[in-house]
Amino acid sequence: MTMPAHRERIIVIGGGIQGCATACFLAKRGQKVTLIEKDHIGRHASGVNAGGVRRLGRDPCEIPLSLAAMDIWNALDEEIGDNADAFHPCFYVKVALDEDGQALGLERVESLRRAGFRHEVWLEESEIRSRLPHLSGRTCGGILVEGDGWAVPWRIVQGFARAAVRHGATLIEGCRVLGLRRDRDGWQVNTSKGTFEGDQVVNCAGAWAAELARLAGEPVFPLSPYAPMLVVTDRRPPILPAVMGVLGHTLSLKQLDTGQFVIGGGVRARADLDKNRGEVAIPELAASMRLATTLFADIANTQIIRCWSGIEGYMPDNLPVIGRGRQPGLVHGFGFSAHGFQLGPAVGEALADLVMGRQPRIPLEAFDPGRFERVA
Amino acid sequence: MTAGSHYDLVIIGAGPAGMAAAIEASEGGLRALILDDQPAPGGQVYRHVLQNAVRREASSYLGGDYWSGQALADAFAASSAELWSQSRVWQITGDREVFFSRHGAAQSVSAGAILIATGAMERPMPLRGWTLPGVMSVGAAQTMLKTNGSGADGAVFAGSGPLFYLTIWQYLQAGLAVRAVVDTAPARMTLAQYWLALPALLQPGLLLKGLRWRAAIRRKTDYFAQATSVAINGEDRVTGLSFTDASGQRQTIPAEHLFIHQGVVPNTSLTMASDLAHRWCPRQLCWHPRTDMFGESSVAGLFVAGDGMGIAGAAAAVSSGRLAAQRIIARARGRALPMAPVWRFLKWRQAAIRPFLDSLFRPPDEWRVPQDDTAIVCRCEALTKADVATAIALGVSGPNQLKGYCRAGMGRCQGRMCALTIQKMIHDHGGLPEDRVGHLRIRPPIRPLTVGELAALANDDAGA
Amino acid sequence: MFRQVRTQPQDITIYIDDRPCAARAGDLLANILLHEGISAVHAAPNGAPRGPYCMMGVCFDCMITLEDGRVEQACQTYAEDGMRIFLPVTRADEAGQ
Repeated sequence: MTMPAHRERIIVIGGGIQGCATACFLAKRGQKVTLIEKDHIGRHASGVNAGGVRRLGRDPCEIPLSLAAMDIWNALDEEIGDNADAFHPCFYVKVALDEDGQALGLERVESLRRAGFRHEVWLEESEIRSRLPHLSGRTCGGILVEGDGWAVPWRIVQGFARAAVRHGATLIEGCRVLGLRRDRDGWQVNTSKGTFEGDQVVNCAGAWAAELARLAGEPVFPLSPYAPMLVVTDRRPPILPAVMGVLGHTLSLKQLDTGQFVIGGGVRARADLDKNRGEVAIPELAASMRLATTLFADIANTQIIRCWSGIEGYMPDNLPVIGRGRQPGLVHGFGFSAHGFQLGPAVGEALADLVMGRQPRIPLEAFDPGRFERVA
Repeated sequence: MTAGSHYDLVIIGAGPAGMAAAIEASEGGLRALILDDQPAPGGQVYRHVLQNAVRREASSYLGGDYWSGQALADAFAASSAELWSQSRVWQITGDREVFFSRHGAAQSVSAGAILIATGAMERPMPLRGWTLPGVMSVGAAQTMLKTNGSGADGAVFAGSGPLFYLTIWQYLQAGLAVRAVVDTAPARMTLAQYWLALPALLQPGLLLKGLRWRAAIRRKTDYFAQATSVAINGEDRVTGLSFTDASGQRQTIPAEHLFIHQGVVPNTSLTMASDLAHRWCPRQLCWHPRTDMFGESSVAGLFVAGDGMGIAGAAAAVSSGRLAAQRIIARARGRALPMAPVWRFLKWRQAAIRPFLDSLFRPPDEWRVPQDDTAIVCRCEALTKADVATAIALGVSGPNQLKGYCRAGMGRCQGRMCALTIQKMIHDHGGLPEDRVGHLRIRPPIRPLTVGELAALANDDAGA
Repeated sequence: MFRQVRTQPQDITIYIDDRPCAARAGDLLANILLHEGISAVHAAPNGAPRGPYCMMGVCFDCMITLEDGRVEQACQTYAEDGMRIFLPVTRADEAGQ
């Protein structure tokens, strides 16, 4: 392609929530930002996830980031305006259905308290029942977090993208990175829509981030693409005022304001990075469906009208990669392993801090890119 | 699930293409199974034919073409092919496992080859008022005649096309009172259409039959030709139809029941959900699965036959079903295909009238995208033309990106009633050719199944 | 008004919202509803009344509730003796909209 090179200050690659939030914070702070996305904003993981906005159940390393993100979620209209109504706060509860689950839950709450975190609270069965009167099965108690919630993912990502543009960022969709080269002056990013020059590059390319890192001459990251699957049902009378999970399982269950249930199970199907799609292996969702009907017998009769999946990038330790790359002027923010949506606003802030040479207010050592010591 | 059920050929749909393929396959020594969602074979065109055949004279109004389906259904019943009725197929996997629901239980069978013969459906007709109770498609009127032997006295029919005239003629034969017929087809043929009509002379019977129906309808009903600017009136249910007649006058006809029609299109839910390649057909204004001359799709072992591969009618469907089965037999048995050229010729001859019909009864633009901003485009989510146009104006490259801005296509019908409309609206807005705009992405399950049904699959040991 | 053009005796009873209704075994439920003068069976998300349109299972506007609580298309349901169906789909549809 022989298009003229544009001199840009910061190039953010990837239009999911991490990239859009980063672009938004950088632009808000007066930086010159170009956000490039190979498909369209929110096309992949950020557009197809279950929409859970939770602090509950986080790896302790992630909790500070998650708590910081929640502050931004609670003032979301300041960042993204009207689209903030796509966030629905509600309590999040992860119930125990047997003694093993109960033991897991009690131990978890206790260990979090010892570490100074009090957002997860243990409830006995009677308290669970009073919060969820329509629950069918008996529980052995559960963990509750007040003020978590769920959001319509693509509207949130749209919100951050539009806010970034409003603050002066340039958004280019349908723009695929073909090569990255560091020279004396900065980065040359060669794309399907021309070459962009920048002082810094932020890698928020999701399931494609390892490939992008490789193109940039970074070490090989052990990122695996999978396709988590979700179903949405027909509309039903409201019986679930919370987002639910089950201790010892990966079920995610919520009921939207439309009355539709969204049921996911952490079940992962094959993903095809070239074809841009994940398979939909419906029978593999059966175990999650069974759990859902154990919780609410009425769900058994509800019709599933749609199943979908999207491509997400998973790290072997299920922790993201957030931090500076080996080379100067490169920052990574990827590998959120199907739980990055809620973290997005705080990740965007942290990546903006790293780009601008500031110390992020949240400790990020656990997410150090260098923890995978393999060389390309 | 009942693991271990395997068939050489699994056919989805017991219409003429499916039945013909099943007959051919069983004659060729293959173990064949048809999965069909109705209680008895026949598809749409020969719906309820075996039940009606018990007392033919009671349904004589259905006409000779309909009864020709009886011989086919009898031959199918006599063949060794199996039929599992009331089976709703919701997914075909990449390794040719067919998932379906039957009597409230989700199950699967595996197949050496699969033939998708799910036929056609009426194209969406997003006129203002099309969602009002009392408004139905002409296909619905015909289905009710065939299945329940039921019809509406005093109904108004609006639109055009072969199915339109046939159904009204059947209504008249049945003694039902037709209040009015509002015909949107042009009165005069263009020079190009006379040219296209020449191959139709290969099937003069069809042309004459059409002319006969149209003449009878003109004689026996309040008939209005060349109707434009059609709008359906009513608040909570239909009260009537307004249109501009051939002389430019605005007319309004009261109606308690209204049947509308602007042609049929392939039902591509299963073919698209199975990742088959499709191509846009500008002549029929719809998507066709890409197939070779035998109906094999872009996915090896998956075949398509009948109206689902392109609208060509019941006779051509039989030929295409036979062709697909012959190819599958030949591959399984390592044999040649001596009869194939005969069936290919027959299919060509049977479909020769199609370009003429497609041109003559091309749906008017105002029936593809509403003129009225308040007309409903996405029925399931109750989104108007204005709602969708606002979202398109935000700058979308296709119907899938549109889902990021509004819920069009995300309802129960999964785009069956709105995908073609949205596609045209995006084309009209940005000028991108319709084949580049593309279709809504269709994912399984293509028919709903309950959470409980899916949960029950976890009870079995066998993995998928 | 809908009427039978194929004469055949009504041999079973079904119940629509607990009201008994004579019918013929194997008839399409959506058609039976039209005979009973019922053209609207549920409400769209904007509250507008909807009823049977395509009669072949692609429009999803003929939704009824079966006795076991499943919401089904009336045009894909065939009459059986003693069958009980309910309209509208859920009472909450009315309350919610």
